[in-house]
Amino acid sequence: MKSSFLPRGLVYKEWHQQRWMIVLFLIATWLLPVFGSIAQEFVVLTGHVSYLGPGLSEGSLVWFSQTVLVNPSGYGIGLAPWGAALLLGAALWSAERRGNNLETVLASPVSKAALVRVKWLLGTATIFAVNLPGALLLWLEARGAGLDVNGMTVSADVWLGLAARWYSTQVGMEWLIFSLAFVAAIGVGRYVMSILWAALVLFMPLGLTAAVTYLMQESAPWITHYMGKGMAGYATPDIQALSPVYGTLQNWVMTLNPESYYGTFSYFYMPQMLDFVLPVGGVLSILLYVASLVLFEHCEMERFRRVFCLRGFAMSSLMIVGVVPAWMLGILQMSSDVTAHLQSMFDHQPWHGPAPMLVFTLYFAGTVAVEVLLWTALRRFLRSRQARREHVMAVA
Amino acid sequence: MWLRIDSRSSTPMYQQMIDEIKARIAKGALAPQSRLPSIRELASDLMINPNTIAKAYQELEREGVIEVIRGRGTFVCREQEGAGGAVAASARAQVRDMLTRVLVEAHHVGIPLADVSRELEVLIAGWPEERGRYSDE
Amino acid sequence: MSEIVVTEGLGKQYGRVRAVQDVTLTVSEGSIFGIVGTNGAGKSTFLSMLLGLTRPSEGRARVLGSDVMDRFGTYRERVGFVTDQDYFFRQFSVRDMIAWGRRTWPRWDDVRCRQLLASFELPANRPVRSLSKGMRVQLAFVSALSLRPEVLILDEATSGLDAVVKRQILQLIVQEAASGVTVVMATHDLAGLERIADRVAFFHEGRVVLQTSTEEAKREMRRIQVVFPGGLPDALRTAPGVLRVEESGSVYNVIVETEADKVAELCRQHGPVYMEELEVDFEELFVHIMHKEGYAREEFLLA
Repeated sequence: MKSSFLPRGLVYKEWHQQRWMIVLFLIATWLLPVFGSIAQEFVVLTGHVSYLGPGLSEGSLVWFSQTVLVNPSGYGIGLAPWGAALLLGAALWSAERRGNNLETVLASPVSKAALVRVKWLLGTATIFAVNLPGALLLWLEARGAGLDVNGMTVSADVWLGLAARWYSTQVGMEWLIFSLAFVAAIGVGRYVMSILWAALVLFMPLGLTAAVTYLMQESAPWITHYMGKGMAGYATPDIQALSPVYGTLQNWVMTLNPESYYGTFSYFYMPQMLDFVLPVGGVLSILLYVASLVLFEHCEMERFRRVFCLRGFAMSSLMIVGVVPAWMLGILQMSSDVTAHLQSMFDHQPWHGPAPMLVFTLYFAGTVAVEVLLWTALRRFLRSRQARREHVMAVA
Repeated sequence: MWLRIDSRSSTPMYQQMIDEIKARIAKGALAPQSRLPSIRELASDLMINPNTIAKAYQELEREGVIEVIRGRGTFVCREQEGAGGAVAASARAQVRDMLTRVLVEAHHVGIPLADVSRELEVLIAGWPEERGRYSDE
Repeated sequence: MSEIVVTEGLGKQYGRVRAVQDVTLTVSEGSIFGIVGTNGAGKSTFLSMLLGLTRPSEGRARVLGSDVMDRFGTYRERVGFVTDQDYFFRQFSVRDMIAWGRRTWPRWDDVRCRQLLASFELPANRPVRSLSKGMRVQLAFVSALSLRPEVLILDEATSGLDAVVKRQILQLIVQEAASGVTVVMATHDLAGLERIADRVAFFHEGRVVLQTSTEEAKREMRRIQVVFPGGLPDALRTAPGVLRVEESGSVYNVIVETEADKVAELCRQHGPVYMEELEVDFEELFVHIMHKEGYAREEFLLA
């Protein structure tokens, strides 16, 4: 039977319910380019340059926009849109968890798949749309008077390229975070809980990283304990030096979340890696969307009101959902480690030439393959469980 | 319309409707060729299943009490003064049956047949007056 | 007349609880089908399965010729649904709900919608959350009737309403049925149902314990009060169609479920001292059926 791809009723309903969330999102993406610029100008004009730290005294609007374009994650305020993306992903579902919202929708002539589709596409469209004005503004600011940086002349095209990179990294990260929160919130039947759960699933790897970072720092209790027993010298760098495997593993665990991946790459490795944020984030987001479709199809009305409205297995797989992309990003990190290692072995010229790209591509393809296999296995498992349950029912 | 239908009575509701409508016609409260409410209106007024009303109307039409004119509505038929034919014969048989039942009932309750006859005569004597009451309204 | 709703051995199990089991019934076009039963008898779950909201765990159900598990649920374009639960979007006003309905149902009738809104005098700008119970039901009916339904599924749509609104709603239901809409309604209002329903199914613990047409029920159900000083003959106690026998001294009340005439004849043959045939309404029948199913203790039910 035919069915509309984007049922008008659903689009109307989602827009009506989420428009304020979308406005909030728009404001969050504008915080950095607009309010950041104003703050910067204010600081420079009032002479409080020392607040900016060393080397930042030449400041102006232009300086700010240039800095942001080259290194978008350099400011804490840049995290606001990520938070907004998380909120939007969760809110699209939590709005349904009040009263009989979800029952009302599903008693109308729409499929469950259409509901997931409209929600996810609305979120995706929002992310692509709300970041455009910010990117445009940054580009205009930088172009306005910024053709000269540190005495070097920069072509206008470079600023356009940087603005495009800023846009694509923002969109890529927000898209991924949105999709993660989106799939996580499907499994929770309560209004506030669905937002909390999405945050938990998303930031669980971050917590893991924080824990590892804490344990690995030189002042960590266990290290000082051993240092006190005469094992001084075995601080982090020394432990890492013992084995390259250990060091790599530690790096992997420490990058088990989008935030640290983003920061690490944009700061210390190569800004060019940022160009992969959108493609990688997009592929992952689409996979998460497929997962959302499957999970919501298994979400049955009698469980709508429970805190965890998916059955045990599907629910626990949601926990993994948060880890999988982080794990994938960890592999990216390792690949960069390995390529750096290879590079330094051959010509001592890190981050140039085709070699890192080749290794990166191989890892990327391999990871996508693993993801697809994982989800195929998950779906098959869910189906076989369903079949077994039906069989038991038929026998009874 | 002013039909009294008791859903609790063991007489089926469509039968109650038939009886009521027939009684109204006989008493002159419903003049020949006057229009009856549609099934929808009547169902809504009485809050009765429309199929029940349709059934009653069908039965009344079959008995020649009312007629349905397509596109115009349902109307009370002209009076059947001394009508002959099969319909009249069966109607007579029906009336005879009812009277028999009255006699059986009277017997069991212990009323002499002569008394029943007298009661009937009183009713017949008062009939024109009864009809007149309605047609005056 | 074609069959609008058909279920075959329909059942739903929640864990170990069998909310609905083995329900087989047919609702024909243009009829009003009543579903009665105690709270928790499975009526709502049954209706929810007809809407495709709840996935049946056994059996099949077809509505308007379409399987209720059809992924797209296209048949719901022609199904109006009203429940005493609040089937609204929390943040929406009356106008928003109508705007949503207009975009959701392809057969939406704007003229009808305006007429109904005007006749109910619903305030367009009020949030649905702040409406009174009666207004919410009225709004639900505006939606359900404006989509030009072929089937109306009503889940206790008239419960908890004041007499005026209730009458208004019942009249609407009857009018819809008169224009050929099929109605499936679960209700506790047995007296109302007795007037408007064509057929009635009694639910108990998820099963249909009695299914009958209203006319048939009128003809077949009776309470026969008899006096036998020497005790009730066993033949009467076990006669087919006898639902229950109540005793007080030598007075016996024989509740007959089917074939009342035959049972009455049987009574007469045994020569009772006194005999009277009384009507049984749905409410009484319901109580007797529930008692037979062991729902509650007799003195409690018939006190």
